[in-house]
Amino acid sequence: MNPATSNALQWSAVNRADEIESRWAVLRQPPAAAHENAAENVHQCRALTLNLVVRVADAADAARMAGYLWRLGPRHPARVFLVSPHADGLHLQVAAQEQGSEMLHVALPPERAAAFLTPLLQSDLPALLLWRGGRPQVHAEFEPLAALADRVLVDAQFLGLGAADVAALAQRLRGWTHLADLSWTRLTPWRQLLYQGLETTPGAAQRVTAVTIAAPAGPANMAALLLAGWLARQLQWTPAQRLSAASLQLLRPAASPPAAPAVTLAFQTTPPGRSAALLGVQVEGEGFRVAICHHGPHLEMSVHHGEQEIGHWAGAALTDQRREADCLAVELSISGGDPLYRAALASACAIARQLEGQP
Amino acid sequence: MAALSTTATAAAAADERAHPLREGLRLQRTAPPCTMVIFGASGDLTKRKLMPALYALARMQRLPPNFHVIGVAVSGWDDDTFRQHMRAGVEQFANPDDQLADGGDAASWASFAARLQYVAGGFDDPALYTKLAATLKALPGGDNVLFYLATPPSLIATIGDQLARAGLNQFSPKGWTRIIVEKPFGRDLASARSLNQALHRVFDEEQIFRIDHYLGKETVRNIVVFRFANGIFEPIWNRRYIDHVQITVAESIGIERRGKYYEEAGALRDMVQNHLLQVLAVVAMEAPVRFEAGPVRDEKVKVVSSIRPLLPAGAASHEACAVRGQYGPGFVGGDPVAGYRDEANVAAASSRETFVALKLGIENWRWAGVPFYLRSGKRLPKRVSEVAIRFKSPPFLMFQDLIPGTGDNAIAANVLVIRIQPDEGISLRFEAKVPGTDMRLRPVKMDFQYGTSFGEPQPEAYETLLLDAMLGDGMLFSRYDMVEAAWALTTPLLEAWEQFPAPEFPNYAAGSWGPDAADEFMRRDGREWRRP
Repeated sequence: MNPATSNALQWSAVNRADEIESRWAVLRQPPAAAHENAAENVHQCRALTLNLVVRVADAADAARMAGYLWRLGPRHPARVFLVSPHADGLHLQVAAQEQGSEMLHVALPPERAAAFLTPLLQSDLPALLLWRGGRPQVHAEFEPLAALADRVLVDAQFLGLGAADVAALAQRLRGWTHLADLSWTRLTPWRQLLYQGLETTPGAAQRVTAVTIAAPAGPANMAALLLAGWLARQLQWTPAQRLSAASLQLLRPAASPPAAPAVTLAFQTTPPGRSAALLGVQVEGEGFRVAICHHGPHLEMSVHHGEQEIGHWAGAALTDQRREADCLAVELSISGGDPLYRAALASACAIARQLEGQP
Repeated sequence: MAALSTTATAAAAADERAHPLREGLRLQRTAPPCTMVIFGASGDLTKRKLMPALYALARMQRLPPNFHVIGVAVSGWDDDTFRQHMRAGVEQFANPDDQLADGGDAASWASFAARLQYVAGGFDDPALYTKLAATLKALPGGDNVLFYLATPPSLIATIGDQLARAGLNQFSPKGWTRIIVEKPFGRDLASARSLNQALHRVFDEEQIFRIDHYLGKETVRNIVVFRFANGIFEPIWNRRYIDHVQITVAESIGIERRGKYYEEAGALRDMVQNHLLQVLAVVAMEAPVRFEAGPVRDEKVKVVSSIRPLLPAGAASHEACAVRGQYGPGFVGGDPVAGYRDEANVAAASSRETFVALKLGIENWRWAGVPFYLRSGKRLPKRVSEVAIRFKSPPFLMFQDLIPGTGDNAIAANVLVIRIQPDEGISLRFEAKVPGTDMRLRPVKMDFQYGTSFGEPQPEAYETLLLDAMLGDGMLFSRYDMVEAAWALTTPLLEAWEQFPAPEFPNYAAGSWGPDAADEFMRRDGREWRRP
């Protein structure tokens, strides 16, 4: 069976590095009999959109990433390099889709990775490094690989990075590449719903008095901190006073309605075992309440004016697996930096410092 | 009431986007809180197009939690009956991703269905509008209302007047009130003007959204991106490099039990006056000063107004610039099909055209001397819509002397084809050297396939257009002056054809590419139709 026409990913072993390009070309060819356009002399464009280097965590992670990216191939055709550290020599496997991605799984000594990949990067296309190989600071190959990329994508939650770690990483990369974080990408539906929920009440965004964010690990949860940071930055709240290890008071800008100038921000720690990044957000203000939560596999939102529910929304299934693939898909279609993320991260760091009692 | 205010529209749109939490959510355009009132809610369009589109938007989180739909029709339904019918419509016509079959997303449907209500009554009955006003005020949907007239054009003035009498044309001073009107926008220039006047009596132009679903198609929208987001095409997009342009909208189906409608309409009214001229406008317009509704629509009106009259004063006949046809019996896809005159509700000696070919000249600096050939017809061999830009041949064909047998006709001109449907994409035909020691040339086609290159699901045109209307973005809707400019161009030809019925009808067999006269019409110019 030709892997290019199969729905399932099938690797093809390659012995020499210089065979990779030609093997991809072969794998991309549709079967001659099925090539209806052959008689018309049609040459289809190979619509690659980016180079994607994935430094995987381990073999299981490589298989999972390969599966995601294979499925995303038709939507985000990329030249994909799955890089596994391997102390002993060079091991290569290739795969390609007729309409989709070209994939190379390379296992090699980490210090050789950047030099090996450099000539294989497709010219004129952006390069994205997805780093899943543990805390970047402790891996010598991180910086050479990041130097190949226009953007570096991490998953702070997966890597166990705190806000300060991510901010330090962003600072380290600043000037030569952009940092993005899947923890932030995961927040998009939450941000969207919060916007929609608050928009139902004129002026609600300026009259918020309390925000409660429920997440595993509470205030140590990167997604929860980023959401709080984003709200604070967009609504111009400034951290004012620590109330506890999981709550603090923020001040609204002077132009806001004067009745309650302070906003209470609280993080609720949910029991371990739930893998969702966030489990719930509630925003309350004078006379309104917007609540968003996971309900089974769904994301649900309700909006109340006083005791009356004025709107209810139940969303499509958001299984954890789909979330991960969806988040990747979103990131693959973005180029350049995200100033909003940088601002939310800075604000999240300020909130984290305040919660820790630091000045 | 008819004053145009594009600045006000832009300002309103900017206000809608000014919410501090909206920043960075540009890719996820969402409608503001509003209620959509559908007149003709028990009809086919609502079930087939509107409700599947609204449900898809709801599933994509593009609708706010307090979005509501009020269906209005004569049928004596209640809320539950309305919901059942709409569910049936979604089950039958929604995109596969939004299907409800196999116990699909029951929670999503339940959440959506809870927002559907129904009000029964006659469209000319003031009591209906009193009831409607009370229902609207009782909803927590805010102050924004979008009326959708999924009704015959003859009811537009009646409904508009009744809405005004009930004060619903400006529902709330704190919000917006808009109205979407379905095509056809009149049947000639006089009726279009009359319809516009009727609408302008009760609505400002910026409140009116005339929907032509063709403009919501992804590939039509992509033409603007292709032209103005790439540096290499616009410099050659003019009379110096382009020989001619062909725009084809072909249908393999017949009139599909719409004999009564088609006898009144015909191909020129049904397709050319709206869809084909809209596509021509996007292909031929100048770059707008900004990518906003007002400037884009200004450019489209300018280019359609620049088209040379089809029947210039003193012209002896229209044959130099127009061909009409009517299909007789034939075979489509190998199956025998009846001729137009054998269809239900069609007169036995009908002279209604089912095929039109036009040669249009745009009188401006960019296009002077470049013919635009338009054709559209029923019962053609295949369903296809495309724009083909044929470039001029190289000024000096050196290969002609080098290679025996490579005469003038052996080197094909470059053709850029924008396929609108099906198989959406863009292809470019160019000459290439065949590998080998000899110098042999061969045309090759470089083919960009829109669907498979991105693999992104394409939204239905109605999803895009409904969301745009809720957001107040009129770019993909027809402004009154565009409608009138299109009718001003086509009405003299319509009148001439109605005055002189075609004695040769039917003049093409179903399953062919139209009448011989259409080929002859091109041959006279030394050109030929593309085989799409």
